[in-house]
Amino acid sequence: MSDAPTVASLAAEHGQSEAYAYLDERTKRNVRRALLKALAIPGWQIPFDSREMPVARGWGSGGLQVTLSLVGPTDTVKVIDQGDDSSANASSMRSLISRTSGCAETTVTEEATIIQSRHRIPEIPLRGDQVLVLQVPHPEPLRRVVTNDAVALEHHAERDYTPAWLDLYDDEARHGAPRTGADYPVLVEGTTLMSPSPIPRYDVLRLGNRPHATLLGAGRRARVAALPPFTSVEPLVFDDRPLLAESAAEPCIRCGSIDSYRVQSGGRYQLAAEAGNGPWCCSDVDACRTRRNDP
Amino acid sequence: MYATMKETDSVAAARAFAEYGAQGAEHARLPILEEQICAEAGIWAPEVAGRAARQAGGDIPRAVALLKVWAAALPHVAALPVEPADVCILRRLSSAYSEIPGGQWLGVAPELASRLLDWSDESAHPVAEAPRRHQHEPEHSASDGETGGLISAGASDGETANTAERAGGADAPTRAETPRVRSLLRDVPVAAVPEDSDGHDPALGSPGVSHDRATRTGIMARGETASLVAFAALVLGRRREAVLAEMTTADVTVRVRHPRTGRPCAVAEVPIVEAEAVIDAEVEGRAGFAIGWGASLGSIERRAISLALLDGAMQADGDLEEPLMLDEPTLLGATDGSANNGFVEHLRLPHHASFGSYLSQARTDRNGESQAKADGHGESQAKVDGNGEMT
Repeated sequence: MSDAPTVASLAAEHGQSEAYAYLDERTKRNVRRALLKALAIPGWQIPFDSREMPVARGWGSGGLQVTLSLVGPTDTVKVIDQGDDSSANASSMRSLISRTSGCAETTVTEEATIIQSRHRIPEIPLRGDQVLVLQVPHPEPLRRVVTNDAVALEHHAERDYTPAWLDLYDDEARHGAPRTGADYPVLVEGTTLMSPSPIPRYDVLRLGNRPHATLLGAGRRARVAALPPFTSVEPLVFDDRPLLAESAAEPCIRCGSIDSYRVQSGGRYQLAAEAGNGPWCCSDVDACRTRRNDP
Repeated sequence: MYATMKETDSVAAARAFAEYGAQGAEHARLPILEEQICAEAGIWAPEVAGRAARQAGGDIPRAVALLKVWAAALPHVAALPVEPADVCILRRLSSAYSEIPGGQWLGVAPELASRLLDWSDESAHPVAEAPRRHQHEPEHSASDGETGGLISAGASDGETANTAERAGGADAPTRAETPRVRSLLRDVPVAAVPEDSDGHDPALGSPGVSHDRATRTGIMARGETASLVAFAALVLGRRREAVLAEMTTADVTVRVRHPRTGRPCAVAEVPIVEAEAVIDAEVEGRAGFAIGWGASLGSIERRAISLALLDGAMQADGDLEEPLMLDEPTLLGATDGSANNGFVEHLRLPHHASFGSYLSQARTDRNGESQAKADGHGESQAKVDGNGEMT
C-alpha cells in the first residue's frame, strides 16, 4: 500500500506548498482511526494525538482537526458558532478549511456535506449524507463529580454513573430541577454517559436517532467521541422527571417562529436595557433565514 | 526542494533576529511583554519595563523585580478614585448577549490575528501592537521617571490631558455613558457582593492575613499572568456555566489632588483591561449567578478574564472550600500553558446559546418554586414546555 498515492502526494504534484487540508497525513490518519473507534463504541471517549492548531486550544481545535481529517475537495463545509455562520472565529475556521482543502463553503444547511458547529445542532434536519462535527470543551461528563480522569474512566468501564445520578438527585431535591443548562449529560445506547458539548437542552432532545453521524472533537482534552446514525441518545434523567427544553418568552422577532431555540439579546439601545427586555431571536441563523424566505 | 528553501529562510530569520536583538536593542519594542511586566509589577511605565526586560535578558520575573525595586523607593502619591467619565473605552465585548446596550466594539482583536509563524522579512511587518492607541512621548518616560515621582513617570504633561485629546478620540464612549451588561441580569438571583471598601494599597506593604474583597482584588491584579490563568482554568473546568458578561479595554485618566488648590489634576493615562464574568452559583438555595470582577493594568485580556473568574468563584457559595487535589490530572492540567490560555481566553467567544440555556433553567427554577408553592405541589415542570421538539 505504500506506493499508492495519498491525497498529500497528489496535492504536492499540483504545487501546493502545504499539506492537503493543513494537517499532515500521519495526524489525519490518527484522527480517522480514533473516529472509527469512536463510531464503533458510541459515546465512548477515544484519545487522539491532538495537535497545536492555528486556533487556540478551546477555540474549536478539536472540531477543526476532525473536519480537516474528513474533508475532501468535493465537500461543502459549513461552520457555525452558536448557530451563527458569521461569527469571526467560525468564519476564520471555515476559510482555513476551504483554503487548505479546496472544498466549497456554504452557510446553507442543506448544501453542506460537513457541518462543524459550536454549541448548536442545526435546526433544519440533517440527512444521512451529511456529517455533523461538534466542538467539545469538556468531553468528560463526570468532570464536576469525579475530578480524576483515571477514576472517571473506571466509572465508565463499569457503567457506574452513581456520582452523576447523585448529583442529579441533589439538584432535584434542592432545586426541583437540574441546575445544568447547556452541556446536559446523555446516556448513549442506554449505557455510556457522554457530554453532548454545551448544546442547549433543546438540542439534547434532538440528538438521538438521527440519520447522520455526529462526531465530537475535544482538542484541548485530546479526545473524540461519536454517535453513528440512528443511535439512541437519552438525557440522564429520572423516569418521572423528563428533561424539558428551554422556554422563550416571545416568538423570534425576525421569523416569528415559536418552536425554534431562541435567545434574548441584550438589546442594542439603552432604552431596551431600561425596559429589561431585548428582542428574542432564533439562534440558528440559517434556519431563521429559511423560515423567513419560505414561510 | 521546497523544504530546503524554507529551511534557508528560517535559518536566515533566526540569524536576523539574533543580530537584530544585539544591534537594535533601543528600537526593539515588544509592547505586550512590556505590558505584562508593568501589570505584574503594578506600575505603569512601559519604557522602563522595556529597559528592565533588556537588562534582565528577557527574564520576565527578573524584569518585574527590577521594576518593583526601582519603584519601591520613589515617592508615592495617592490617586483619586477613577471617575467613570475618565474611562475611555477602546474595545468592549460580551459573550453573554449578541447585542448589548451601548454596543459591542471589537476594536483591535488580538485573538483573531493569524496564529501561523511568518518567515518573511520581519522588518517589513509591524510587531503585534496592544489595542491601546495611547502613545507615550519617549522623552517623557524612562529618563523623567528616574527623577520624578511614581505617577508622573507616565505622562508629565498630564495637566493638558482632557477628554478631547484622548486616545480613542472625542467620539469614543466613556464608562459613564455605557451601561453595565450585568444590569441585564434582572430576574435571576445574583450572589450578594460582600461589603466593599476602598481596600488596602498593596504598594504600601503587606496588609495582614485576611483581606476584604477590594484588597484581595488589588493584590491579585498584580498576580503572575501564567499563575492566574492556571488557577482560572482550574475554576473554569469545574463550573457548569461561565460567560463573560462584559470585557473592556480602556484608557483611564488618573487624577491626584493638586498639592495647593486641592483640585483633581490629570497626571497620567493608563490602559486598563476590565472583565466581568458570570458563573453559576447557588443563591439562597436557588440556581443563580455570581458576578466576578477583575481588572489589570495594560490590555492583556487573559489577566482580567482570569481575575474575574477567580473573583466569581470566591463569591459563588463555598466552592473554593472544596479541597484542591494535587493529583496527576490536576497538575498536568494546571501546567499546560497553551491549553489553559486558550481555554480561559475562549470566554471571549460568543456563548449566547449556552448562556440562554442556563438563564432559562435558572428562571425555571425560580418560577417553578413559586408555582409549586401556589399550586401546593411540586410539579414545577408542567409549566414550561414552550419549546417543542422541532423534527
